[in-house]
Amino acid sequence: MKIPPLYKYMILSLSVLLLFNVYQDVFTLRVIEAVLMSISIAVLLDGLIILMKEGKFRFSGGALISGLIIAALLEPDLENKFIYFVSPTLAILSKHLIRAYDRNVFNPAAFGLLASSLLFQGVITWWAATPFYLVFPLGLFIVYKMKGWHLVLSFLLTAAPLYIIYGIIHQIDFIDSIGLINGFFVLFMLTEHKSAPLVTRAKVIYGSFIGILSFAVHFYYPQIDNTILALLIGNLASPIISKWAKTGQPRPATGSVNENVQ
Amino acid sequence: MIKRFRIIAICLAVLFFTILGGFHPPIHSADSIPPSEQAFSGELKNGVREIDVFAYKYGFFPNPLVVKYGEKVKLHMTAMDVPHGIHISEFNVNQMLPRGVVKTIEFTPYQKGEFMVHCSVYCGPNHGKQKTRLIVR
Repeated sequence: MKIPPLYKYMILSLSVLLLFNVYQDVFTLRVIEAVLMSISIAVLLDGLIILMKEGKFRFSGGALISGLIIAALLEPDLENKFIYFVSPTLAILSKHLIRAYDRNVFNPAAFGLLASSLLFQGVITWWAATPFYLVFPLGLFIVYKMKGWHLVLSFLLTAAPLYIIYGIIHQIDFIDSIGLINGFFVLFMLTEHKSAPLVTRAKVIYGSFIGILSFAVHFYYPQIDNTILALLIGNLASPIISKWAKTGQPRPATGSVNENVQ
Repeated sequence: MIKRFRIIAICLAVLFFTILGGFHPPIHSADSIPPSEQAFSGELKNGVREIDVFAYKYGFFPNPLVVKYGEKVKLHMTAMDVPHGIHISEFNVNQMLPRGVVKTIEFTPYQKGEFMVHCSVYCGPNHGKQKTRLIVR
């Protein structure tokens, strides 16, 4: 299995966050079981689908990253263990079945998480998306490697003022208002560029669009995780945004330029 | 050579932060009393158990919530600092709690056991740690 360097950094960063959080406060067999189930099912199912498509079983770094993200976000202490099977399954199926322009339409992990939370009462708690002193250095490094600054900055420049205004209106401390922006999402998930536009202008519109949408969902439709829903709507809108930004259709994912993560 | 040095530097930085984080004391549940001996939360008013619950960064008070099987429960919920949420999947409870506004949530527990109560609205970097237990006995 040959894993591109970008995948390796992402796998390493997510593994550190997961190990840290398992060790920090919830080191139980139930948690380890949930984490291992999410990761192994994503990797094995993806390998089986590749076997059916190409006639050769191989592990994919993208599937491992999807499994790690699901494990980091999905509450690991649920009674219903079925959720740890169904969430990575839906993620990998979406990766292989819901495709356009030779790319997956949705971020697989986000799709698996949202679908399983809506259909099977999975709970997205972002339990391993902490602490900030690990998330930020690791996340910034990933953004640097991914060249994802346009996405991150456009998201922050639209979302941050909205959260600050909301905080002023509702008398929330400035730091607490900014803290409502999900750092892990911005640094690790928004920058996934297989389902995002590829050209700068479109990236800026896409990041801003998700920023506004995640704020709106956060306070006006809070039954669903705001960032995950905003990302999936953004994924759907990505080809339209690319066209609107007059960049033409999204390019198919080929070559080293698109060392896509998921 | 430089590439190898970079990788080593990154690994060392990651190791440093991991070790640094590891020195923080583990978070444990405040209660050590067995569920069967826990006193019921709140007050019984006209056959309804009414409980004032406060959500804050990053916890709920009281912790845990103890209620009686089959007895109607009214949670008067207030978010103290930022908007929070409450999610108890087994009893179909999923409600946003705007800061400083009392929200009343009603349900009747027809299932005995211990159930996780989560914050359902992202409230800050340790959002995932905001949880308590609902004990139905």
